[in-house]
Amino acid sequence: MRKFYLLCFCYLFFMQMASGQQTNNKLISGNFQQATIAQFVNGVESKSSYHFYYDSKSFDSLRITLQVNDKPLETILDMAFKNTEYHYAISQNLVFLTKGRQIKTDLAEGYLETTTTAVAANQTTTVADYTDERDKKVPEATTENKLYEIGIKTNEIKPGSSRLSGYIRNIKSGEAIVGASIYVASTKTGIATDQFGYFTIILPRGRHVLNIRGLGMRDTRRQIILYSDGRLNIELQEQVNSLKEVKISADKVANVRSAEMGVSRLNISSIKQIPAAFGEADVLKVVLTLPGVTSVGEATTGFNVRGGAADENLILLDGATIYNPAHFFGFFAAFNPDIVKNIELYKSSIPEKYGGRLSSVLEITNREGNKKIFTGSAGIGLLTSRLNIEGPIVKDKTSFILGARTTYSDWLLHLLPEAYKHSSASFNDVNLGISHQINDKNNIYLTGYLSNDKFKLNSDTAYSYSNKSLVLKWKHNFNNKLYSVISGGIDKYQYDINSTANPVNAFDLGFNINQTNFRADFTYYLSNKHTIDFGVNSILYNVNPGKFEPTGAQSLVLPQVIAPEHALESGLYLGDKYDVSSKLTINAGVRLNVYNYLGAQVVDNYAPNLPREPVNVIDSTSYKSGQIIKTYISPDIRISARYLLNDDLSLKAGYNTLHQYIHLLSNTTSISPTDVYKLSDSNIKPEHGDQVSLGIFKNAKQNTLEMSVEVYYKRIRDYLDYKSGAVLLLNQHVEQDVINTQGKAYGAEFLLKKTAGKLNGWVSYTYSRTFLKQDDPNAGELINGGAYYPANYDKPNAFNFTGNYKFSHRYSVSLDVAYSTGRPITLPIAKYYYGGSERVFYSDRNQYRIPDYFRSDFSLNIEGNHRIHQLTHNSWTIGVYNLTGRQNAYSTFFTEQSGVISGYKLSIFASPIPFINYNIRF
Amino acid sequence: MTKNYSCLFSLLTLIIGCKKPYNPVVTATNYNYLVIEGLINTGQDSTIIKLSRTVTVDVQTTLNPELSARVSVENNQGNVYLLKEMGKGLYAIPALNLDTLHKYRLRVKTSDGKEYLSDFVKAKDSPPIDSIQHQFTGTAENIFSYTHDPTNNTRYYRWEFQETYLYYSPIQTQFVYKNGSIIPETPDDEINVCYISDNSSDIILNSTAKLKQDVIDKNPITQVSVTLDKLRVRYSISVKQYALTPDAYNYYQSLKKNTETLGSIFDALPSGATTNIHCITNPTEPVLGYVTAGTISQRRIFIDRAEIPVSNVGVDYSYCGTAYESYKVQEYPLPYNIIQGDVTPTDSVIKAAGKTRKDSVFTVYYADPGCTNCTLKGSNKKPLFWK
Repeated sequence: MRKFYLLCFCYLFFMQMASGQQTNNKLISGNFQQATIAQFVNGVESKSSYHFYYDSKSFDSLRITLQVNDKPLETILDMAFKNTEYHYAISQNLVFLTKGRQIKTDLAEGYLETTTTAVAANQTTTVADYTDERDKKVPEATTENKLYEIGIKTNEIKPGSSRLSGYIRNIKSGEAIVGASIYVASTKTGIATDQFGYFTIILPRGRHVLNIRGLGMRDTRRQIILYSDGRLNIELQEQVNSLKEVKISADKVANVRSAEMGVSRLNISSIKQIPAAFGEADVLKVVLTLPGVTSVGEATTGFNVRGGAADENLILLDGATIYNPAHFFGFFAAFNPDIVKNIELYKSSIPEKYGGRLSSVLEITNREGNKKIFTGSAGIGLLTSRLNIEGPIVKDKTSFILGARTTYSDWLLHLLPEAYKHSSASFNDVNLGISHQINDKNNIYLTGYLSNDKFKLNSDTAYSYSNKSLVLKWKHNFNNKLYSVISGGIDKYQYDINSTANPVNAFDLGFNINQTNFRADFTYYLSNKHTIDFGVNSILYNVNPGKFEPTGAQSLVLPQVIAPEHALESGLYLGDKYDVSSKLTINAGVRLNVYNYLGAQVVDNYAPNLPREPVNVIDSTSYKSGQIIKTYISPDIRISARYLLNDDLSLKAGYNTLHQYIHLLSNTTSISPTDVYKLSDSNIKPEHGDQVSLGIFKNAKQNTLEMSVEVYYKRIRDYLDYKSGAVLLLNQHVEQDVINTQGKAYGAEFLLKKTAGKLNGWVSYTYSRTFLKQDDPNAGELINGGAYYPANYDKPNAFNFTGNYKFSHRYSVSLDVAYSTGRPITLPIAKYYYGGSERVFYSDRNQYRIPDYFRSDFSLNIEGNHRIHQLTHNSWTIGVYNLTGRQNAYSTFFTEQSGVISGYKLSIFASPIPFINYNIRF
Repeated sequence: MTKNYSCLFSLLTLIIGCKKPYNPVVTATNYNYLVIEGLINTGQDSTIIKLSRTVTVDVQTTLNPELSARVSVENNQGNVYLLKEMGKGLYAIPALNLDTLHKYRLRVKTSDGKEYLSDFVKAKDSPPIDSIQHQFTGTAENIFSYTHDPTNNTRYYRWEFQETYLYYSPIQTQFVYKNGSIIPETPDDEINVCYISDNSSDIILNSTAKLKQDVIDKNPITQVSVTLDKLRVRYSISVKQYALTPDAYNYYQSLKKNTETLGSIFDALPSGATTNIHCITNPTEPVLGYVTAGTISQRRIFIDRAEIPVSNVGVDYSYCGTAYESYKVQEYPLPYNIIQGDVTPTDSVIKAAGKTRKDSVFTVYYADPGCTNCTLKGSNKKPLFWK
């Protein structure tokens, strides 16, 4: 009975409420422009008798733009909350606003078999999104435990897939995180962010957990419900302690899952853990610890990738081509470790957007400036110091980063004996980066780089060289599916030698290369199976091969100027990443290279099938400025494929072809700062190479252990070698002194890498061979009678260990061990007496080897305390380079002194070299 | 340029590197290739051609002369001039007085029946040396040569030099040990004053190909350090100048690179020096050397001690001193180390006074031969050019 009364009461109550709602059905007018919920509510309350209840926190992101004339409240609220997750419920003159869940002002349907007029604002099943994208605020996903709703919410999830895109940024600095990976466990798909931190991934609609890993960032996850296409920006926390793990690859799964082969990625914290000769992190030295990369010796400018020559590597610093990547004869890399963010080395799967070099692409990416606060860092070493400052120009929109480095090595030179005391050597480099976010769809980036080297020997001859680059990049998102990067820039490399010691012979010798670049790269996410890359790029070269001029009135030097060379190298490319099935992915691309050698120029014509010698010049042709002298059109193919055998085991294969149109003329063992570049012309063919590679990749122990075995075979055609006694500098007819060489290289690379835990690092072993031969019938004399001979950098066995052990958050130790077979050399096989002295007669080229190479380095990294809020953070690096003090042969040579020939072995860093470096961040 | 690089580089290795002897066992095979050195002198001097053979790298002596060969000079008109064997691998003919209109070549027939022939070479006459000058730079005299060719035709040059200096033994003595006794020295036994000679061993090259005029200015010939004895009394240098064809210049440059400037980071790889001599019996057999033709110009200068603006010149001989030994003649006629030649007497034997013949005690003063006998270093004959 009592129950009955209660029910009656309730019934009456609801009846009344329902009628109240009807009686309150008064018309309201209003005009709201970007109104907050409080403004909106006040506006409505002032024009009616309604009273609103809501949680202001849940509504803080809502902005209402609405103009209504004499509409009922329901209509107004429907319009205001259309396509949002907000709901309302009206009970008499009380209005309840909620987020996510609607308050039911009536009892459950059927409970009393009476319906009320409560309306869900978002009943609509429309998937169409009519609001302009510009007005939509992309949610910033910062917490792990929150469920983010992507797209237009529907009460039932439609089957099929939708696209999720957005940026991954550093929460502290707002900087884009390149190469961060998103892995979706439920679908086993993964993707990495591009150079701007942008990603697009296609997922089945529904609930997913995104696992996100970024270099130097804390691993995190985000929970999403994907309703329709939408965007999500993810902000990641930095790992506060800088004792980061050594990581080669950005993401755990990429080793097995990406279709790329022969790609190594390293971030700067890994680079900084590796002990370097003078204590300053060296970007290029780290590259040498990777499998398949060798160099002819310590302190050399170049490196050799899978049997390629040192000039066959394209070194890009934020898109600018760096011709001389070293300071001080190769003792230091020309890249400031405080500015560099990460490096990527492509040795096999070279993306089709790159061309123009045969062996590899080394991409060095600098950091973007902090968009939120001003920060900086400084480092002090024995020979160099560096400083960098960064910060916002307009907060969250525009930032800058400026880094500078200089040396004060002169004190060392002044300690030397009188004969060397007046020498001087100095270098410096400056990096500037400005990034500006115009809006969500447009970003521009300006980067500048300048490096200078000068040295002088006892006030006699002064040498200098410099790199200068400026790049402007514009990134534009057309929509979620298509984005473009347009960039233009200029790169300049020059050197200069002058001597005024003898006024009669006083001279100034200069070389420079200027290139103007233009690139337009597009990425189109066609479907969840196809990602299309296409674009065009061009380089206009202007090379001044040499200018030799008198200085001073007394100089008798005859001015000699080699005619400048001009050429246009263009590439048009199209590539597709095609996910054939969940197991098979194919990256296929084509690149059409068009190379035009341009006038003004006078070109000698040689009699066909005869050696290019002065006697065989038939005539010469003059070409006007801009006239096309010779065109080489050559298509390149880039294919790689991955087949997943199971979740953590895959097979990969690749084939690529490459062409190179610019050649470094050098007949020295390693690159010298006075080597000149020569463009391909009518008489010098472009270099051509192709490579086939095969690999097996395996992850174990929750992806913390990565293993891979890769094998490759490579052919090189028309690589330039030189005749005996060739003159490469100031030579009007270089083609008469060069010989085309053919090469072959093959090898197997084994890599085992531990990416997490207290002990991390990698071990690699490479077996590789590189052979060259000269069989050009027009060469005249042939090296080794036209048979294959080992290249200078042929080192069959190479072993590397790089490891870091973390004792605590403040202390860690790093050990680096390197072993390789000695490089080939040519040794004397006979001696004789001539010209007042003993002389030697050499064997066939490269028939002997210098002793094997072994080196181990050790360093201890000490972090200051880990309080986040303090004025400066500082750290120390103390270590020893070449711990065992082994006197590795850099070169061996036989030289005459007082008429007697003796053999010598030259070693660099022949004893343990201790170093100390102090770093400060503010 | 490369040279300066290697200087700076060796400077760097001085700080952080090291250079150590290295003698790998490369091969035991003795290739025994023929080496031909010499100039077809078209002028007033004799033509001297030197034939030798290569030896293995590890042997001590490099001298391996080629004897009993038939060597002749030919011109492109068919004239043949036969050279006479002088011994020690030298083959010579007095002044040929050839014209410079024709081209010349060298033909060698060795005793093993092989025949070698050079390409025809153009005779190139060396312009006179304008002057040889010297400049003191604190620790050394730097010798420079100056020359010019008003016709601008020479362009490529090579130099050799012979230096001779007057030397006084630090310990002067009037006696010598000869035929078992100590006797006063005669002019033939002179060991106090000598003339010491030394030949250039480096290849000295220069070119004016890049200059407006064919002028060689301040071309470095050699450096004479004050720490050596060369400048101690009087020094003389005679510089020989050769004119080269561009090919010959390249040959010498390669040879120089291969044996004098190797080993630093930026030096060129060893490469074969392209010769102009071929083995016509076995074309694949390498032949070493390069045949040139033309005349030589020569100039000599003297530098006196008075011209050296520092007081300490020469090796420090303060270690040189005399010792003496007293002995009884019935035991042995002279101290054993004098008879052996380990030391040289500096004075006659002195008989101690007041003793009978039977017990008489003799004393002899002696010194290290390096301090007394200059003929160990040079000749006691005054050269003809010395003035």
